[in-house]
Amino acid sequence: MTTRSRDRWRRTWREFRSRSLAVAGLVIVVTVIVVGAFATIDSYLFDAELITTLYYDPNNPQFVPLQEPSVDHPFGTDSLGRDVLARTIYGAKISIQVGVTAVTIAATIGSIMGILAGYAGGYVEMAIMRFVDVMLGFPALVLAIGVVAVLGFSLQNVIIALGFVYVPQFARIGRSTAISVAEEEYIDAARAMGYSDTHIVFREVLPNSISPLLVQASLLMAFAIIAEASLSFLGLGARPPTATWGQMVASGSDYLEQAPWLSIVPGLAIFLTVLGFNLVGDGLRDALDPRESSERRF
Amino acid sequence: MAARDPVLRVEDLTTEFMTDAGPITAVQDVSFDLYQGERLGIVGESGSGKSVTALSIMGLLERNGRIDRGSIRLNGRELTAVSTDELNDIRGEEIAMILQDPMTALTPTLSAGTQIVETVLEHDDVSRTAARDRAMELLEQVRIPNPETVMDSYPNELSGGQRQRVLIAIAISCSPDVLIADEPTTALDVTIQAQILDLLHELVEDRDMALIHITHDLGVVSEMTDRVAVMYASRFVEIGPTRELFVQPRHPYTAGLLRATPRKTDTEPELLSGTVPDPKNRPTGCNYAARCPHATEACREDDPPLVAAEDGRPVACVRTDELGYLPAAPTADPTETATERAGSGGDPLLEAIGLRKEFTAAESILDRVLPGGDPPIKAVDGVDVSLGAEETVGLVGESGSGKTTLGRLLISLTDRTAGDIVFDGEPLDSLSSDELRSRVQFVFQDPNSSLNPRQTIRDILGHAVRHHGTHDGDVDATVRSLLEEVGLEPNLVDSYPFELSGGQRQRIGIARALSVDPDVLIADEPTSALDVSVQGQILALLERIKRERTLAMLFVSHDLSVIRHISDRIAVMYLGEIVETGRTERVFREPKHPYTEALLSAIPRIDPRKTADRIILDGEVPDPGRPPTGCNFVTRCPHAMSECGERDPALVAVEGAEDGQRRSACFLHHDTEKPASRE
Repeated sequence: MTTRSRDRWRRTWREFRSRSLAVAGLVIVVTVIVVGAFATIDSYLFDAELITTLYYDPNNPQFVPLQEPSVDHPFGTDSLGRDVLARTIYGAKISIQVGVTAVTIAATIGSIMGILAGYAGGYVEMAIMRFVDVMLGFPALVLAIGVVAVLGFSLQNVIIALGFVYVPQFARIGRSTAISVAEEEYIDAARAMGYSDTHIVFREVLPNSISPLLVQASLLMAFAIIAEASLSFLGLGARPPTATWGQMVASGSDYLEQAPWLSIVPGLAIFLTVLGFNLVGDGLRDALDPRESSERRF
Repeated sequence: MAARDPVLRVEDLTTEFMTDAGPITAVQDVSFDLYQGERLGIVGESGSGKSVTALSIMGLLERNGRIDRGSIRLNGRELTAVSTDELNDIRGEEIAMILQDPMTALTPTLSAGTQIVETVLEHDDVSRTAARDRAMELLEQVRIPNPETVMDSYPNELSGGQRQRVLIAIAISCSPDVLIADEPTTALDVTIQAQILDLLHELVEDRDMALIHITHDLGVVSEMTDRVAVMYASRFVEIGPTRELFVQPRHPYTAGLLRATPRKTDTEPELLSGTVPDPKNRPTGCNYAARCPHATEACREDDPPLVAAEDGRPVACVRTDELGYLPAAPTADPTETATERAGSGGDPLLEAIGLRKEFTAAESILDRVLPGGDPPIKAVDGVDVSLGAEETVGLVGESGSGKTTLGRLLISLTDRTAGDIVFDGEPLDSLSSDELRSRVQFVFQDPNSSLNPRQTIRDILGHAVRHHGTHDGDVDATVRSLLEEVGLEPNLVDSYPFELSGGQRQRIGIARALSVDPDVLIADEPTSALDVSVQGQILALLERIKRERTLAMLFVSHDLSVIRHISDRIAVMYLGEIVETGRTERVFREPKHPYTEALLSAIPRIDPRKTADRIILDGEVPDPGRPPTGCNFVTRCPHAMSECGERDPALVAVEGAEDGQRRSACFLHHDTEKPASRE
């Protein structure tokens, strides 16, 4: 059993590795995660002085606002004189945390709802999809604000809210994929074997529906990172002085002419992370599909 | 004849495809001449390179394909050297092609008329009105009923046969000198195939066109061509006049194919073992050596060139002069024929009475409440069928006959609308799902889609074995023994379905059905997606398994010659009803129902010496949502009488035949108002 599943992952990894773009994406994502991890265990790694450069102290003469990039501050300083590089590194932690957790919540709930709807059809489908339609009636961000308002302002609640508002995206994709997969003859074959619906949903339909869901997850990871930024900007999520990329872009936009790096650096960080997740998603989709073997492509 | 120049001369054509794994040669050193009015057949199994040959000539290769070397001269002009613009002019005016799948070859958003008109306008400088007149003429020439209606119809409103006629009209619209037909009838039912072949034959004759007919169907080649080239693993292995080649083949592959193809006669087809070698991994020496019963050491050394044998026929076999002519028909020594097999005594194992299935198009509540709308489609319309223990019943019919639905109803894969099914003396509904599925199993048509692509063979079979507890403690050992039983290497357990060939996949499908140790096997067209040689292997496997495991089997197929050899009894379905049943050999020898008769005569004969006095049915199967009143077959029946349009004939025993086993649903055989006797 274990050797078999290990073989399968080895095969997937071999396929993944043979795609250079996917590997590039993975490098980006891993870098961002490692950077985020550094920020989490910072107190063990860096001296207190570095950490203090994150938090504005009006009495510290080190804080010179809007410095241009230099050796001391490779990406310059912001309007309060805080080091942009340090804040970007610390922003990675929150972005990854929000992106991964929120999307995982949404993907788990949404995919199962959607696949159930698509496979079961009838009233189950009707009930689930009408609920999803109602949710889609609200702009995602507005809905998220509403949820945070009800739950209270905190980073954790932002994650819960985003996990909730992205459920419809996964439900819709899960449903449409499940409907087309349910048409396949191997589903009939599973029914002819007398397998239970649970077996069919989780063993036959789900694995064959995973690719578009994975791609959607990687895309939404990007959206979630941006949404968290927006919510933080509105003061609903992480509060200043906690560094998040979204906040940094937003506050930097006031100084675009004097100090464009304030927005560009965290903006690039968002862009790269989003790109990384997308490339990984694409690569995973191909690598997970045994039919898409690189050895067999004509 | 010899004085004329050929319309098309292909010399040493070699086509390659670039792949990640390096170049693959799809066509190698193919040469032939084609003269005006000549019909050349190219026959071979899938992957042999026959379609790529056609696409190379048409200049329609995929982007990763290219002509490596060789020359294609059409009317003296070298096609490999002309520009794309010139080629566009040549295509259509001098050479045209008909593709295999009429369902996807027409643009869905333009009417059939518009598509013909635009082809005419593209090539001829005429007014739109004149082009429209020409289109109408063409539609009449391809003998479409109601050409005025078809002109303004969209492809989805036309049947497969009608679409293929429209495509033929487009192909001949600019009077090409050469017409290439790539499997033009493969996607069509046998009675429609007969119509289209007849039409093609007539058009080629009338217009003195040259025709290249590409097909895997030896019967079609035999009836439709003057000369035939047999293609194997990218090369021509034999080429010659059809009448000679099909009677006295020289190349062992030609002979093997001919002997492996099921025929309507009593002789059992012979097995053609092995498969076509992977194009990436061709053996040194003759490509066919591994499968050839005559192979010697010399065959494995050098690739034999296509050279004239002693009688002048080009053959790619080093031993051809030594071997001489090979037998074209199976040397009939059937150890066990259908006649000898035990019939069903006693009670049937599986029996359906008055089985009915209606599909409603109406989905919403409004549709159901409001009057009007589409009538329900009667896919299965009151069918009685029984299957005795150890008996094999062949269920035959064209698409839309309801044969697949009937098979699915019997195992509750589809819910029935009405009727009773009794299994082993118990009503089917009283059995639990697991109980039913452990005793009645199903083999699916398309092995490409019936296996979960994300599960290994071990997963697929292991789940089944575990679910039904049909193992003695060691699931893995059971899986391995199942693989061995269906003739597969046990080390395939860790493969994914995509890594297997079509034939291997179908063997897995069969192994899965066997994994529950069933009493009844329902096989839904298990061979229709496979090549001739593989088809023969799968049939032989089913035959052996059914004997060894003493299974009862319902074999569903559109192909009468396939059903011929495996069934004890057959039932012929037409538009949701069984129109004739009886013992197989009797039905074949003397079909009673006019539909069975037409169906049998529509099968192209492989032996070119046997002239076909074919009954070509008019029209097509009516819309099952709006069947005709009276007999369902009345619209196409050559013997239709006035009462046929009034009452629906019941399926009753034919007088004096086979002690009541032979039944026919035709007034010709009803005792009471029996008309003048038929021979």
